Amino acid sequence: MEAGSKKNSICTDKVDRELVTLYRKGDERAFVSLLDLHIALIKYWARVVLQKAYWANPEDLVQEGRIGLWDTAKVFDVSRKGNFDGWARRSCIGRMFDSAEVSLVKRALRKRLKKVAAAQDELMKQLGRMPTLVELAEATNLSVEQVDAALNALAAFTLPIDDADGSLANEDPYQFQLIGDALNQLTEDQAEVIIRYHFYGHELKEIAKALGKSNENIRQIHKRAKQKLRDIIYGKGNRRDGIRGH
Amino acid sequence: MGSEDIEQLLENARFKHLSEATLVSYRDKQLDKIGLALADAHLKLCLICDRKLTFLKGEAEARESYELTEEDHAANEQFVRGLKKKKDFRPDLQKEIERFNPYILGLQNAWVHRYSPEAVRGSKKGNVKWRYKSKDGVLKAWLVLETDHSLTVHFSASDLKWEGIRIRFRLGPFRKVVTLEREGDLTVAAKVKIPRRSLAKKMDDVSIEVL
Repeated sequence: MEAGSKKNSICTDKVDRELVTLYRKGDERAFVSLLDLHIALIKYWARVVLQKAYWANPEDLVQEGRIGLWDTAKVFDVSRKGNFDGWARRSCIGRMFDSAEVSLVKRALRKRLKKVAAAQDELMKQLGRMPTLVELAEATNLSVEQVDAALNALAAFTLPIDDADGSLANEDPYQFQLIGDALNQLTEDQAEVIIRYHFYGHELKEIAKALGKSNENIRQIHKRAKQKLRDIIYGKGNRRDGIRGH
Repeated sequence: MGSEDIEQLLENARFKHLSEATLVSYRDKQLDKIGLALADAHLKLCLICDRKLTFLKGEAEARESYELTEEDHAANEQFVRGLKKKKDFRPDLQKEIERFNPYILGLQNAWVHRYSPEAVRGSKKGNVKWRYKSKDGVLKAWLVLETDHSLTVHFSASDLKWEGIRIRFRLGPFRKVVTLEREGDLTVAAKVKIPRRSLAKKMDDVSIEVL
């Protein structure tokens, strides 16, 4: 890729894969192009890391990011589904976070991050809404500023911190996919009722009003939708009592 | 999961954090109507995912507006020239990794299948607790309980082409990445030392992967 006035537009996964393949065949220019395409990503995350580890050398962090991209280019399986960008992001942030200057932050923050993450998850369930910074500060005995900083660190560094001690286990991409796929097999009304009731906490009465249907009608739709979801997710014949039918 | 009630599954689902891939799809408007509704429901509740999304949006904006400079390009070229000089510049390594993978898988399966916690708890310290050898004898691994109660996992292979391959080892919450390095003229080896405090209660909760 030529340098100069070219805008670093969001590169496509296809281009990434082609460049990785060329590089693996020994074409070094392909990796330079890959770096050119991802240097904005690397510099952005280096800036994010610098907010927490302001003493680190920015150029060193960018260099760590380049190594992260190189790691990804070496091992990324181009034949399988999977986004190169996502792998590259994780690898670049991981390298920066594990560098000698920055890893100090990881050790110092780990306990606080775990505390804030656990309190956030608990309050989210208790309140049924997004907790405020003040509520989180009260729950963790930290100042609002400390909570704010911890949330930023959690959001930026979740993956490396996860790798270190598995503290944020409340994430399940497969479940999201499973439920999304199952809801897609329901009728539009059934999916709407399930999402409003279970994911937005609306009452059945409110849903009936919003959809212009009777309460009884919505109750029936809800009941049928749950049965259908049960059949889709657990297999037909799996009853509530766990006895498998025929 | 068979007998778990659907109500419980749906109740829990809204509190599950969104994966990075889902957040990226959300940011790039690639979720379908239902995926979007589910992600929105969680984002209304969760400060952490909301902030993660903010960072990812920042990344997209930074990439959109970034103009590659001559300096960037020159630095990238210099980086690649530097790699060439490095001993571990091995574009062929991927092929070796693919060849090494079944060996590591065999080792992991053997560990899970055969390893019993009693073998460590009931034995004298400083001894080899378990040995593994691949069918063709190329890969060997063994565990040693040290006198300080830490556990050391040794990997050794007689194929020198595997030098530089990185192995990610996990036992319970403990994780470590090691690189196979030349040990004498005939073998490449690596070892992982697991401190006592990091030893898992379930010794078969292990994963060994090639990076």
